[in-house]
Amino acid sequence: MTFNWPDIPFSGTEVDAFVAEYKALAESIYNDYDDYSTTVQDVETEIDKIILKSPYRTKENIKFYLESALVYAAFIVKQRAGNSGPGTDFDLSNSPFKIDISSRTQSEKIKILQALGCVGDTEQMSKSYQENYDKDPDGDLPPISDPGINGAITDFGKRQPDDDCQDFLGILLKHKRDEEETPNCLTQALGDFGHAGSRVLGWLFALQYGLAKRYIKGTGGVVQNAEFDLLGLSSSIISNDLGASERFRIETKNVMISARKTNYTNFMGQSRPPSKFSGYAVNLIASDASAYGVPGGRVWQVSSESQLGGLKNVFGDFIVITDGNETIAIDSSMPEYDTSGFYSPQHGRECTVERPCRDWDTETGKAYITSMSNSNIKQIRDDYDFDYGFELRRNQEGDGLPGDSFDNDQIESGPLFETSTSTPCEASDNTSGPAGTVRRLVANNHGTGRTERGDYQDEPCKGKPFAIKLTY
Amino acid sequence: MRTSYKLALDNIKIALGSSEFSSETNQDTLVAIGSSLAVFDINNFDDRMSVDTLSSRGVRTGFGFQSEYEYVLDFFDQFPKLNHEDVETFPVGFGSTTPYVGYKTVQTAVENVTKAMLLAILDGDSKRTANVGIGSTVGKKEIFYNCLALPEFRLSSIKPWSNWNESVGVCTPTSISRSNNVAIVTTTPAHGMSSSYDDWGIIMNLNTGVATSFNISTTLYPNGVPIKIIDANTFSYTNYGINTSITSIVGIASIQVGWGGTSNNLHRQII
Repeated sequence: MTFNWPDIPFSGTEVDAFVAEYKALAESIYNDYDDYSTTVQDVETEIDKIILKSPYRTKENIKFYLESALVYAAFIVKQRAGNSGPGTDFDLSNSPFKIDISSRTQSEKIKILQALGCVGDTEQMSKSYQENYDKDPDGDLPPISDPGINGAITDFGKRQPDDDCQDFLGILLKHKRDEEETPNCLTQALGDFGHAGSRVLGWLFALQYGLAKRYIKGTGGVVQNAEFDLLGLSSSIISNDLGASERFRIETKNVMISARKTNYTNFMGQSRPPSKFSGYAVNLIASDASAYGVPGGRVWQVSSESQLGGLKNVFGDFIVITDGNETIAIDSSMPEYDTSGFYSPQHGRECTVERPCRDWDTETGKAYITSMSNSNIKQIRDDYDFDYGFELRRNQEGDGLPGDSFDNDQIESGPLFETSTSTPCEASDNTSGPAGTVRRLVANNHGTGRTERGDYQDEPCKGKPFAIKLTY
Repeated sequence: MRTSYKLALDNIKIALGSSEFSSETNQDTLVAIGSSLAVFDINNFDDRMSVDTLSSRGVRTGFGFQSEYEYVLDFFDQFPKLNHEDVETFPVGFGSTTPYVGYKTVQTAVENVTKAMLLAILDGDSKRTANVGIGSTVGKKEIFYNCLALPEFRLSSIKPWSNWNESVGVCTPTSISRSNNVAIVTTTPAHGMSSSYDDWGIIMNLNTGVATSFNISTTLYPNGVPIKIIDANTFSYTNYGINTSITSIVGIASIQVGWGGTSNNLHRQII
């Protein structure tokens, strides 16, 4: 038995059939949840990252929802079927719908009382009751000495000083737009909170948040393996021994070998577009990695765009230096004229005979990887910045390579801060997607107005790009 | 697990003093302190017309944004496990700062899953029927996931997106008024909606002037908003705006069918 099903206090032909089908379907959903992910993705990524909205991306949570939804779903069927039975009255004597909290822990009871608006404090509850008792014009209230009253106050009125009330404080916290519009330390405080909490959700989430926090704090510099491991430190890593830098190396290898030239079909039968570089996750930048200190190696630009979920929100595109021992192949069958719609007149990217839209990275075709191991990866490099925040430039002599050290003169506003009057709201709203609201946090940290190259100065609570250089 | 999660999963809303509660049950919410605590509550869908809820509709990812954490969690496309005890060992000192979502976000998730299961299991378009459909388990799972999928991954060829928002008819409003954010519509001829059902809804589409303020956005409410039938020619629906009355209007109201109204009120007692 996978589920802890609640009792169903309804009966009838339709309800019974529905409940039986519900339980069977729920079992199937739960048992196949991970298998569906395998069907959808050729690599070890989760289904949840691909098609489902956020609350349904965890198998454990799906189980809770399915358990909780059964009674009300069955009730609706009962109402439609017209079967007799309880549910539409408040039968105090034998209500099958009562929620008995008497077996819950003291702290849980107190939280429920507090959620109801009660103070949850013995002394205060006693004083309040006594005052109301004294003023009761009808004399209906029993005295405080009544065992029932006394018991209720004693049972529930035990406040624990260290009680964690964040559950309900959270309800009171509202989105404060005014604060967001002013660059201040709100985002930094949020970064501290978030990174600490994110660690229990897994290494990638810890890493994602840790990197963002580091940006917001304006630390700058170069993140190397040891710090990277600390940023990605999570409870799951503690029990699995591998550090974030090594795990990232493995995930990167998985992305690099996930060649997908053509559209693929997900388990829902939908045709999905392939990866960024003409259908591949990698783009060969150079066949000689000597400039990176790896003679004989290759330099790849890796896109995690097609890796829905997983690394997608960590780096975006980044640079990988290999030892050159990965096996590559050349695909010369790439269409010379793009048919994907990306190169279209309405996008200002029309293909012509004079300007064909082929995207080969070698003389004879598009390079892709057919086999490689984790150990082929010798460096991973990136500059961590935001187009709706500050960006790090490498476009002038002496700027160095991505992942190298830099100075403040190389920092300027991202392209979404277009003018000296661009507001964080404008910059973040230019970025589409459901995460746009939170992107304002990064944009607000930047502040109003574009900062040109050479004008960036360190300030408290001001975001700052940094470089990442992982070596193996 | 957080107490607020447990309450949300139990379909407990704790809406003390709710005017909706009192109007639908003809009594106030009650709290009795004797040997124990008793609270009366009702459960019904937050959105009684649609496949999902307003706070999780369209491109919204399912967060209700009740806490600052939810913005961050949404940004990083993560939803915490409801049962924190499942998350292996807590690093020392991090227990009190675990990212959390508000209880309304959890309630929304439960509501959406409830609807998804009803849609997957029940026959036809799943409206007004109590009969189990004859489809395969694989097919039902696809419907289940289709209900909970992001818009870009939805299949429009199967339930619920293939037929849930279909209109069942139209009626012709001839006058309309608004008082205290309740719109009252008079139609000629009769609107044709049977009072035997309380699952009716409308998508108002009026053409001119102030009357357009009564219109219903299908982006926000793809299957319309619920109505209450007053008589054969009159119905009302919630509509925010200034008090006004218009005696001559041009347009139509599309008639929709949703989940049901007060007949789906599940009465709860918490002791």
